[in-house]
Amino acid sequence: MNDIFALIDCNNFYVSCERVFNPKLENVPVAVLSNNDGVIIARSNEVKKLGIKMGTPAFKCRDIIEKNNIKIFSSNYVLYGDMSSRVMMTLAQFTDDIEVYSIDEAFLSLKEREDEIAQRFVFDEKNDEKKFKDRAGRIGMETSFALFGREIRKTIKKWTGIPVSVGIARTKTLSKIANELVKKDTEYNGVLDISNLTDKQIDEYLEKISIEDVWGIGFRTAPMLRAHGFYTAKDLKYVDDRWVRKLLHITGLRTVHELRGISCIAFENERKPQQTLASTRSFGRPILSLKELKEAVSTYAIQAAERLREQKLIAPFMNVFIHTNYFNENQARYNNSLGVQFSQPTNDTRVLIKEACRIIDKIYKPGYLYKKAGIILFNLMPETQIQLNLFHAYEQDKKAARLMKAVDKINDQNGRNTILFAAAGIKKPWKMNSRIVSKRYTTRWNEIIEAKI
Amino acid sequence: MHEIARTKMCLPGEEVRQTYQKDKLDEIKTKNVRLPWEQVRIATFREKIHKIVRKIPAGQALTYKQVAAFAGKPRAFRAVGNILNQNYDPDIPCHRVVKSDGTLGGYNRGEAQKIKKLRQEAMVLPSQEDGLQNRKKFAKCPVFQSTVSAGFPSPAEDFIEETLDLNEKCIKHPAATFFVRVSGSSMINAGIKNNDLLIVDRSIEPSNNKVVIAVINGDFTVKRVEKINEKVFLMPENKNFKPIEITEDMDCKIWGVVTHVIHSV
Repeated sequence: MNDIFALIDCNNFYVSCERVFNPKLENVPVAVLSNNDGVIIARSNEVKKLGIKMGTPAFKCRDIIEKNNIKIFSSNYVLYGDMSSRVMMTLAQFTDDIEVYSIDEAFLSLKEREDEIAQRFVFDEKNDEKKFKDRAGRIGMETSFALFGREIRKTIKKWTGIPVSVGIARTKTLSKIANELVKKDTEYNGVLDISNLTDKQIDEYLEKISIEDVWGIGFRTAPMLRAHGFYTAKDLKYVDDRWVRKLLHITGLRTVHELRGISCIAFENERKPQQTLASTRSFGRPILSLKELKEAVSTYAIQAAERLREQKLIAPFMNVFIHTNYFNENQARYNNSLGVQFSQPTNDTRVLIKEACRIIDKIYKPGYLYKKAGIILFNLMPETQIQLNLFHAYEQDKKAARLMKAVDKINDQNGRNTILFAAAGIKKPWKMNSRIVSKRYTTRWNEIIEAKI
Repeated sequence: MHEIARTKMCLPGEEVRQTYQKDKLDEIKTKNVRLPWEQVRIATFREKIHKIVRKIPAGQALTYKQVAAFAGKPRAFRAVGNILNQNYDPDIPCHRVVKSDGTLGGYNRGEAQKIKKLRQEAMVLPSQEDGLQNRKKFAKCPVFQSTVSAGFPSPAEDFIEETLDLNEKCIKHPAATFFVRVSGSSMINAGIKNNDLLIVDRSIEPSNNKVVIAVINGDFTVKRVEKINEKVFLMPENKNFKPIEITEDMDCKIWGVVTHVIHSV
């Protein structure tokens, strides 16, 4: 049996989340800003129509925002995370074979349920719910998979309030493309099944997809391919294998094969253990002093260590970086980073803070206005895989682990920052801006929805 | 009396089923706030099977069918067999899974090993072994008539129950359940008072006479849905308020159905 994939993608996910809890935002232009209110990372369809691009810095389009009365929100990741897990939980009732690909996308593998779906979802001209109007308004035949997709779409919308698009195809890349088409054209009504079309019919769809929008073609390769005369996904489909192999290597060749309907990218519903972990933010206001910079980096170290311990991982390497504002051309610029290898892989907050501050001491240069800092941990490995070195004090290690466990437990039960590390500072005047953040409707009792009756 | 209770508990699989369900609930309940690709981890079928089999205590056995049913796929008993056939982890006692007709059903380390292990756990009587080894001749020779428990059971064991959990009682669909705080008195006769907490389930169909959260002109409100002569009304439960008729040109949506009211006394 051939593979078959469905890609479920939430429409304008962050904006949709805001709209569930604030119905007044329905049919109004809404945009969500990134951490620290920097750039626009989510746009409602109304905002997209105004021509505001993804990743535009907010200060650059202040005029358009005010003129069109666009509602702007800071990102509320607590809310988005909870809503995402609700969507995925709802999906899980349809099938066990789910690959959660990102916060708002999931692949389903329908290979093993092909017959069952074909039996359960049958097109019926009399039944209103299973009727389907094609693009010209005629009643057309809808495939079983498409009906299954509609059922998923309906359920998710009802249960969570989040609208999704469904693309169904024989390969992951094609299902991405089907999803792309659904989003571009409202007439598909949210679902497109291209799994049982002939090559020629698929080509008609591929022609509409420009090369940048193909999954696996990055922003660096796209201009290069354009220079060689490839403009659409269809052009890429009929390229010579050896040539692609040479230019884009094996991953590019895989993409091309996937376009041809040969499934090469495997379905992975088991999450791979994390390899790297980064904890980085930009500051609310530029930092000048060494003391504040250390506070900031210590805060990130604490967060990183918490996340490490949560996943029972340890890190052998750490990299710390700082840089000044990239956008401001009038200021003096400086960026630097430095790595360190721990004598023993660790997830001890105290060690991370100590090393991070030592690195900052080395790379800090006075007189610059720093905008962003962060730490990155590499080559993470499971706690159990620890390799002791000759001079290691094993007893101390155990003691540290117990201490960290106690700290985590207290902070877990009594709220974050019940026990804190003074190195991270207490006031944190440099902390991130998030001025217009919505409430955490699903995770805080004092912030839930209010209804006046 | 003790005897009776004991036999009840010995039904193969009953205990395993209970512990498994409890674990599953715990899994849903413990939600921490992390980004979802870190948080949502949908167990594969293989993991589910391993988890179930791991919990079969010594002296008890399940059939392949039962294991498949606990994993939520009653017809996948062959898959269970295949998965267990690939298992070499000593922590997963896959020898405690047998065929439902009472025969062994194979073992990747040899059937003799399976019998040996089951005998160690007092599941197979020596008199039955001959029949098992000549399985082909006597196709249906039961491994166990009833499971045999070794050791003296704790007298309290029969009376242990889970503590009552309000989440379990009030929230049937965690993915679709939200909380809403109300202010106002228009629903006072329905028992919804100022500052009460409502549990709202979006997955329920808002049929006639249900109390719902509605959105009128972008504002949340709570009312009872009533159909009178093909017309739909949002009815307050207080004489001082007027019913609202829902017309085509109104901006009105049903957001969710109220299932419970939590009121502090």
